[in-house]
Amino acid sequence: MAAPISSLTMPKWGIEMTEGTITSWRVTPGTRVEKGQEILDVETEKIVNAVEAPASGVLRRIIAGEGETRAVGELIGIIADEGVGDADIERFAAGFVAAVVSFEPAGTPADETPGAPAPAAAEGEEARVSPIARRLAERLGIDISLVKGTGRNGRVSKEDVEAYAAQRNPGAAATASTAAVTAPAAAAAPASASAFRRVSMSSRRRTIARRLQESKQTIPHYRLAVEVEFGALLELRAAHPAGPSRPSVNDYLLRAAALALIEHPQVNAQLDGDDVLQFEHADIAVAVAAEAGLVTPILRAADTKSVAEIAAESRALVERARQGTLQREEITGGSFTISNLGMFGISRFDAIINAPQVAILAVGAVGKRVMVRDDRVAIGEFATLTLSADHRVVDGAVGAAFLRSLGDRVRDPRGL
Amino acid sequence: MIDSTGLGRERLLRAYRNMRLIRDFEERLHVEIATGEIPGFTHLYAGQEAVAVGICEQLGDADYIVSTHRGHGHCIAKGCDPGGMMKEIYGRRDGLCHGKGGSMHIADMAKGMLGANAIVGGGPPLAVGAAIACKRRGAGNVSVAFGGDGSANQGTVFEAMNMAVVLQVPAIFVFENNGYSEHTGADYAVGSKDLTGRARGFGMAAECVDGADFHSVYDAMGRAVARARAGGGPTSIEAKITRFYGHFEGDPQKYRAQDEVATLRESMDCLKRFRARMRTDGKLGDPELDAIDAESLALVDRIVAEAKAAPPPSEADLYTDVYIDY
Amino acid sequence: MPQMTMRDALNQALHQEMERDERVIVLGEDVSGGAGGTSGEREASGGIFGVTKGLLPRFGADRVIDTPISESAIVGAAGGAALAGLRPVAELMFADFVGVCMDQIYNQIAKFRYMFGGRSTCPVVIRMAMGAGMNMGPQHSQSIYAMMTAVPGLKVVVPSNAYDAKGLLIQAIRDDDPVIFLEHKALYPRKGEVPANPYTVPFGEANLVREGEHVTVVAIARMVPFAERAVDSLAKEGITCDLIDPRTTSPLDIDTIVESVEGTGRLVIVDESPPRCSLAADIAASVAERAFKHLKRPIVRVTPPHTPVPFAPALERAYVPGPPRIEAAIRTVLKET
Repeated sequence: MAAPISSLTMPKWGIEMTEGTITSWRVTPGTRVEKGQEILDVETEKIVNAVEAPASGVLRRIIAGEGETRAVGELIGIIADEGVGDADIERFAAGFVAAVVSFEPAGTPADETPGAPAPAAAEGEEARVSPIARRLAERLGIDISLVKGTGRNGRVSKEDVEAYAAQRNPGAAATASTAAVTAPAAAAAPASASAFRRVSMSSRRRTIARRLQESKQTIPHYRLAVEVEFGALLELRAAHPAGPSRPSVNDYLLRAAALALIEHPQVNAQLDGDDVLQFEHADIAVAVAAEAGLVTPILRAADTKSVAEIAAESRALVERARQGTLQREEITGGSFTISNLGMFGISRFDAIINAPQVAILAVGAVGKRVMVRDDRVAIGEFATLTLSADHRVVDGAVGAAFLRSLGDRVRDPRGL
Repeated sequence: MIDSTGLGRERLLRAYRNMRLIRDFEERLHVEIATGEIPGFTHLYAGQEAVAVGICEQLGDADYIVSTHRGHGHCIAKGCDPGGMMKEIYGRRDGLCHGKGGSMHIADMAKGMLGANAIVGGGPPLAVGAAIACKRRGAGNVSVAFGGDGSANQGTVFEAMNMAVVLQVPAIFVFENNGYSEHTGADYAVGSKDLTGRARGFGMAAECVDGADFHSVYDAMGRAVARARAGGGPTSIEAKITRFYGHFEGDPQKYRAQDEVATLRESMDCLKRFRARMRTDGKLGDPELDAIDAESLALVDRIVAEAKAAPPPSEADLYTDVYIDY
Repeated sequence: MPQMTMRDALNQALHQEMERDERVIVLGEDVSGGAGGTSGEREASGGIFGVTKGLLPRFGADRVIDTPISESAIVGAAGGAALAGLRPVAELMFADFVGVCMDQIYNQIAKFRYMFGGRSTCPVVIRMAMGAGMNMGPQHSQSIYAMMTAVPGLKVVVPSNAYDAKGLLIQAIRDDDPVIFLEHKALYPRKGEVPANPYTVPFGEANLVREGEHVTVVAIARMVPFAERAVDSLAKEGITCDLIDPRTTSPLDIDTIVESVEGTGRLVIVDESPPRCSLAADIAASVAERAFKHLKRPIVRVTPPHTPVPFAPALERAYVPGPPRIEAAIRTVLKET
C-alpha cells in the first residue's frame, strides 16, 4: 500500500469564513509534524488562530506562503511520509480539487467586490428630503432648503418641489424628467429671455456626450471624401426579389467596406495606448438612432458573411437597438463604424470617430448627378462617402487607398 | 428590614385601606360587569388582596412590579390612581392608558407599575430586565414579577427564573397559587405539585406563605427584599391563596365544588383575618377600620360614577402612541 | 475615509454609543462568551459574528451581559430594562430564533407604548443575523423583515452596507421605540467607507444607490449589492435604473419609491424573503395604489420561491435571487407590450 499523502487546506472556522491569510508557518518544509500539532497561523477577518496538522508525517510542500490568502478548502500544504516520491507529491498537488465554499446565489461570480455605498446623509444631518425630490430640485435649479416639506415629519417630497416650481413660475407644470422654468437671473441666458425647457440628460446621453467630446478633442481627425457611382450596385440590388429580405444599399456597403478593411488592416483597427490592434475580421459598428440616443451595435466578422446574411443580421441588430434590448457584448468592441444619413437626404457629412476605433465612414444619400461617361454627358446614381480617420494611426495615403478600394467595390459590385 | 411587628398605625391603616379598596373595587366591578356596560372581559382579584398589599407595602415608587391579567389588586397596591383605573376599565379617554389597554394592561411608569399583562408568563422576563436596571442603578431597588400557579408552568417563567439566578439580579418572583390555572386545578397542572420546591431547584431562595395573611406575606417579602439588596439575588415567594370569583367574570366555575367559595370566604378572607389580628395585637380599633370601610365604598361609588360619565376616546386617538416618532 | 467591514462598523457603533451613554447595555448569548468556561478566557467569542467583540473588556460584565440560551428572557429582560430606564441592545444571534420569543417581541415590547396609552417608552434594540446563502439550513437562514414589519409598534432596520449599518445602529440605540435590527450574515465582511465619528442615518429615508431613468429597482439588504451589479451591467447598454435601498422596512420610505416610479413607469422589487405577504408584495400593493396610472408594465417581483431555505448549496444557490435574475427581471419589465 502506498504511503498516504495528506492535504493541508485552508480551514473553515465559523459559519461565514470564506478565506484566510497565512500569517506565519511554524514549521519549515521537510520537518516532521504530528497530527494535532499547531503548524501555522491563519488570520481571518475575525480572528487569528492556529491550524493543526491533519495527519502525522513530513511537511513536504508549502503551497501558500506567509502573507498569502486562500479560499476555504484550498490547498496550502502537503504532508506525506519521507518515502513518498516527489513526483507523487507533484501529481497530488496538480490533481487536488478544492471544496467550493461560496455564498453566492445561482449564476453569479464568486468574487463579489461590492462598490462603496453611496453616502447618505452627511454626519449628523437629518435627511428630510426624498432623494427623488432632491434630484428634481437639482434639475430645476431649485435651492431645496427653500422648499417647505409636507410629507412625513415635514419631509420634502417630489410634489413639494413641483408645487414650489409651479408657484415660482405659474402656468408651467413641472414634471420629473422635463420641466419648464423661467431662467434664473444668474443663469447664462439673457435676463430678458422668455421661458425655456430644461431637459436633463439621461445617463446614456451623458455617456455619448462625454465620449464624443473626448474623441473630437483628442483625436487628430482628417477627412477624405469621394463621390462613388452606385448604378451597378442598385441594379444588382434590383435583381433581388423585392420583400423584407432584400438587402439594403447599406448592407452592400457593409460588405464592400468589410472586404476593403481586410485589404487595409491599418484602417481595421483600434488604438490602445501606444499599440495598434489590427483586427483579423471586420467588426463593423452600425450607428443607429434609437429613441434614447445613438447606439452602435456591431456586425461581427462582416468579411465572412454574405450580403444576405449581413442584411438579416443588421436588421435584427437595428431592431433590438431601437427596443433597447441589446446585450452588452453586442455593443462593445468593433474595428470600424459606418454611419449612414442618406435616408434623411443628407448629401454629405463628416462623422466623429468612435474611439478607440481609428476611422469612420459617413455615407450620404444616393442621388442622380450629371456625369461624364465616354466623353458624353450622362446621368448617374452617386453618393458621397466621407472617411474620417485618426492621423496618429492612419496616414492620408492609407485612408485614400482604403477609400479607393471601397469605391471600386461599389462601382463594380460583382465581387460582393 | 422592617418586619410586620414593627409596622406603625399609619402603615397598618394604609395596608387595610388598600386591601379594603381592592375588595370593594372588585366587588363593585362584579356587579357592574353584569350590566354589560364594561367592555371586554375582566379578571377579578378579590380574595387575594393580602398578597398584593403585603408585597407592595415593602416597595416604593422606584421599585418595579410586573403584573398579570388579574392585575387590579397589584395596581392599587402599587399606588395607581383608582379613578384612572376605573376609567380605563370602562374604556374612557382619560383612563390610565387612555382607553387603549383596558383591564388587562393597566400601567403607570411613575409608580413603578410596568403593566398588567394579558399573556400568562409574559411578565417575568420583563421583571428580570427591570431588575438588571435596578442592579445597574445600585440604589437598592428591586423588581417583582407577579404570577399565578398557571404562569409557573410557562417556559418563559423558567427562563426568567434561571436568568435571574445566573445574573444574580434583585428580582422577586411571587406566585399567587389560587388553586386554579384558569379552569384547571393547580394540583393537576403543576406536575411536582410543589412550586416552591421547583423554584428552589433553580437555585434561588424560596418560601411558601399563607397568602390570606397580610403579615406573613409582608414578612416573607421583607426577607426577599433584604436578600436582594444584599446582593443575594432572586427569591421566589409562593402565596397560597384563593380567588372569590371565577377565572373571568361570567365564568360559571363548574370546576369548583358548590360550597367551596362560601367556605373559603370564611376561612381565607384576608380582611377578616387582618381585623382579628388588629384586635389581638390591640394596634387598631374596629371603629377606625369601619370608617375606612365606609370611605372605601364611597370612593368606589364616586369613581364608578365618574367613569360612567367620562367621554370615550376620539377616533383620532386610534393612531397615536403606536410610535414616539415614525 | 477608512474602509471598514459592516461587522466592524457595527462594532464601532456599539463602542461609541456605550461610551456616550451609560444606560446602553448589551445582552445575549455569547455576546462576550467564555463565562464559566475552563480556559478562563473571558471574552471567548465577542458574539458568534464578532460584532460585540471588545465590549466586555472595555465596559465590564455589568453592561455586557452573557445570558443563558433563553430568548424569551433575553428579549423580555431587554424590554423590562428599557421600561426601567436603560437602553438595552439585545442580541438573538440568528433571526430564526424569534420563534421562541415571539411573545416578548410582538405582544410585549411592540405594544407597550400603545396599550399603556403613551405612558411608556421602550428603547430596545434587538439585533439578529438573518439571511440565506451560507448553507445554514432552514432554521438559520430566514429573512424575517416582512414578519417583523407586519407588527405595528416595531421599527425594522435592514442595512445593506457598512456606512448605513453604523449610522442606523446608532440611530436605533438613540431611538425611543423598539427596533428590530436585522444584519444580513453575508454582508458582515462587506467593506465600505465609514466615518470614524459617530453619526446617525435616519429611519424611513431610502438611499438612492443608483440613478437612472428607465426602471425603478427596489432592493433590500443583501439584494442591494446584487441589484447594483445587475444595474451597472445594464447601464453599459444604456439601460439605466433608479436603485432604491429603503434601509428600513418600518418605517418604509414608500414616497421615494412612488416618486421614482412616477418617472420610470417600471418597477422591479428584489426581496430575499418568500413572496407571500412579503415586503415585495407590500411595496407592489402601495405602488399599485398610488402610482397605477404611471405604470407602463406590470410590476415584477424577484424573490425566492415560497419554500423554506434549503441546505444543500446546489439548492440554496437556486433559492437566493442573484444578479442574473435581477437583470432578467429588469429586461422583462422593459419589454413593450
